[in-house]
Amino acid sequence: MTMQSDIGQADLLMEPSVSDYIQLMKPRVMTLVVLTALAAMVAAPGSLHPVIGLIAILSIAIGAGASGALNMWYDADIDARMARTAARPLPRGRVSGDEALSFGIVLAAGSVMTLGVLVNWTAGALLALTIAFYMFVYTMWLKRRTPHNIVIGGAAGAFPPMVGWAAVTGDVSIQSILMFLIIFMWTPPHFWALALYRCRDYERVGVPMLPVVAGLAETRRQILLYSLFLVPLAVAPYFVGLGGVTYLAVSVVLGAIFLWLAIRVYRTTEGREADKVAKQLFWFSILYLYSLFAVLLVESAVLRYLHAGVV
Amino acid sequence: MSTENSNNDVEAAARIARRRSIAIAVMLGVMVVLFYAATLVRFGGAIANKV
Repeated sequence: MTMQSDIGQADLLMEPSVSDYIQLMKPRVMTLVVLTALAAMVAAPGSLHPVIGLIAILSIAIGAGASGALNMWYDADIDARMARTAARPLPRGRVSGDEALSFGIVLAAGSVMTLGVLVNWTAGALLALTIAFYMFVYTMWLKRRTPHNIVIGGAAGAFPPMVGWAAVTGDVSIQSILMFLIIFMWTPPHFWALALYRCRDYERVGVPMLPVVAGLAETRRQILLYSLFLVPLAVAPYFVGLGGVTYLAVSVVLGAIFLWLAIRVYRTTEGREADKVAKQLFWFSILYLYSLFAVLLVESAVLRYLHAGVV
Repeated sequence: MSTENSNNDVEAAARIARRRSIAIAVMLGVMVVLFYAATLVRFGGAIANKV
């Protein structure tokens, strides 16, 4: 019995609703994308007219939504067989594959064109690269072929702050690359923590996540290794003038908790406790990244306001 | 009983289609306003004098 057979008949009869299309855009991922891009826009030197800034953020959010829709279109077959994704609009039969594909293409083209024409083409090109990378490199090429899918594919999720930065400055700089690297290094421990307690799901559908291919012990070791790189990297914005003292304090404290959880995941190898610790790391990693960029955003906004007051 | 169910399905489908149409209309309206505002911001005031 497949999970799809649990779908109510009403689901199959219904036309797709607005909320089905919103779900296609992966709204939770969108919020993180918007936060990281907005933080970069506020932290970037220079200014943007509020209307143009709003358009930049909307374009980046819709570009992320397009990536989500295209990903769901391509992965509909495996989504239907995984508990975590079986309730998505495509496996439930609420939205057809063609509808999801055309929705994704229209949003992708629209967001890139809007960002390019109304903001600048550096940002537009970076957004196009983000969508293409997520779709072609991660979803179509790496995800089902290599356990490094998350490592390389993670770049797609790391681009939004670079897009936000480029929207304001028109170029790429060491600070925006640093924000990219933080998300890039954060992605493997985040997804591998999830994969530790969902590895049977991935194994069943043939996605070669690290725990499936290399085993749980190696995954725990890799989580710890990436966390050891991530935590100092997340402190670095203070030293390149991107974050202030508040950012330094928050990144040090939360980084210490992150490392402590990664060590616990490494050491806890048996039974329910192992799953529990992996879950804790997964959820904490989300809080960690949200907090870093939220602090960067608020601190940059406050400093900018105070500076404007002095001038 | 089945006729009643089918009527309910038709009504529900019509309701969903109506909401979707409203959402599309609102989205298009927002886009028009944003593009209009962005054009004003990009070109600045007194555009007729600049031509």
